[in-house]
Amino acid sequence: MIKRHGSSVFYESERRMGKNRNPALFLLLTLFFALITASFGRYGFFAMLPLAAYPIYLCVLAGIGAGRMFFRLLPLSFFVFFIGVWNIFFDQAEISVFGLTLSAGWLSFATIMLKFLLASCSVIAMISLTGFDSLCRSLSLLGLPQMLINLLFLFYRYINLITAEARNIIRARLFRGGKISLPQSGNILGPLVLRCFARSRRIHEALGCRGYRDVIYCEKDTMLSCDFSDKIFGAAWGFFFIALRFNLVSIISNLVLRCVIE
Amino acid sequence: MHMADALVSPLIGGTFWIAGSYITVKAAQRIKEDREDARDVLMGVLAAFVFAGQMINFSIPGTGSSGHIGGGLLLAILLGRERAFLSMLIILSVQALVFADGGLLALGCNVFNLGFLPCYVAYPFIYKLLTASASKRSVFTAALLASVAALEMGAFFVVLQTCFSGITLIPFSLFTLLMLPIHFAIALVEGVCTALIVLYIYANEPMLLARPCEAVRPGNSLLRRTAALFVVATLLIGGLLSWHASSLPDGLEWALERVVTEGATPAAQDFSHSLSEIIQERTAFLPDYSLSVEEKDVGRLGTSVSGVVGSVITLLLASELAVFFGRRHSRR
Repeated sequence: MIKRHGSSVFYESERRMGKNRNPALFLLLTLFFALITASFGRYGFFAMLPLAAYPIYLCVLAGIGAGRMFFRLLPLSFFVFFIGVWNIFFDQAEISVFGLTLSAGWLSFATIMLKFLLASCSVIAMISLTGFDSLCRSLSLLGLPQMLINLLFLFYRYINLITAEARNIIRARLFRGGKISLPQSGNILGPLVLRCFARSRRIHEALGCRGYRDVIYCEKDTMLSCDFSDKIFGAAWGFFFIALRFNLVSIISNLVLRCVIE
Repeated sequence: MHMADALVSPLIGGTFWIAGSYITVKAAQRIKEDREDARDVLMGVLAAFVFAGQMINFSIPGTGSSGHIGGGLLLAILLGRERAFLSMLIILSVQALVFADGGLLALGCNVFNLGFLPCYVAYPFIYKLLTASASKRSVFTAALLASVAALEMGAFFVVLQTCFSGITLIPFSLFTLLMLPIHFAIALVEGVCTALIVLYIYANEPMLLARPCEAVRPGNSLLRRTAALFVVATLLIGGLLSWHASSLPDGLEWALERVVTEGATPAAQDFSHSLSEIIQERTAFLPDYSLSVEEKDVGRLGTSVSGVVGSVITLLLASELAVFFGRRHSRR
């Protein structure tokens, strides 16, 4: 029995919820999902739609609402939109859907935006579900160098540190009546870098005093375990993605139409 | 300038992933050999510094898009190219994982554009060559030129990766004309910022810029090896994808393939487009399933309806199952 937080019962109940499956499993699944999503053709909009089940599942599990997801994705969508929208003008082939003749450009544009939605939603939901720290710890499963994992782990914490230092410098400058302009930016950025250096050294020494020896403490049994249910979980989703990529939708649609026609 | 998963094909994404992994392993090995612990301490915090800098977006007029600094060159100047590359990898991974900026599949492309090009091309071949005299003016000029070169190369590679992926139909020349001038402006800002920071550190703590280890090995055989790896990876992935080759298009483009009107001309058929299309079209696994409905029975309208109906039914089924299991688990 794997123990965590001092209580195996607590850990087991969390694990059953699916919230505490091996984070590396979710990462691999999401990467595979991104690969499958990207492999669809330019006009695969309708064939890709069922793939939405995976991000929906993750969102339900992580408890992320549609509104929150929308506002997370909105600023990211501009670049994809800007590039994809050109298809409307350059893809002039005609297609008919429900008897209506449409420009293929609209369909290919919609496909790009759907790909963006699927890939981004799955990543955001995945990280909400697994947590960044757990993901970092379990990355050693995938063979990442320990130094890289340490760096990833510490970097995430340093972001707040940098923001706080920058805020202090800017506030001090404004209180003294100084302006913040491009010619003076060197006098702000330079001290910021040096202060960050100094602080990072202090943090590193403090970590060393507390027993840190360039290895992040990791409950190996907990993080590296991938039990039978995990394997079934991963295999089921993997099979679903592959089935969708290779004709599942058209088989179902033909089944339905055959029933209707005959 | 982050590539998104939506714009990358598996071939391009996979190739750059392999190349990125190779450079990462090599960089990690080299750092182990260096044993310059003082710089390892700085890696995390400097990466966070550049990350925070990337959060500051410049709006690009007329495009609805925005740009931000890359920071790869600054990291390379302060940390050396290997540590800078790994720091950029960390930054881009966090952006892809936590903020969904870029994407997992496109991570390899982003690492190449924003990490490899500034650290392994612009830094040794432009910055280091121009700063041989180490005067203030030469540092400023070198930082500016190297930043511009790195970002312009990165932007050009975004264009190449997008066009070779064949997802969009924006013409290569137009896309290049749009991307390069925009990134030239961003690169100027980045170049000035990089130069100012480097000059400040040069004046106050010049020891931070001294790197004895790199002077020992100026050779850059990694470039050649990476180029060779690209070719091998492309052939390998292309070969694997076309292994399941079939004479019929796979069942996923069926909705369009069958309903595109006879007379309609396919859009731009440049080399990259046709290459990716051939690979994508030749991945059918179950090309001739026994349940297919004869086209004469259903007709063109029916076929398009079948596509829509099939997708919606499968989505509903899958979503219902997903929501059901999700809620069931949550109740527990």
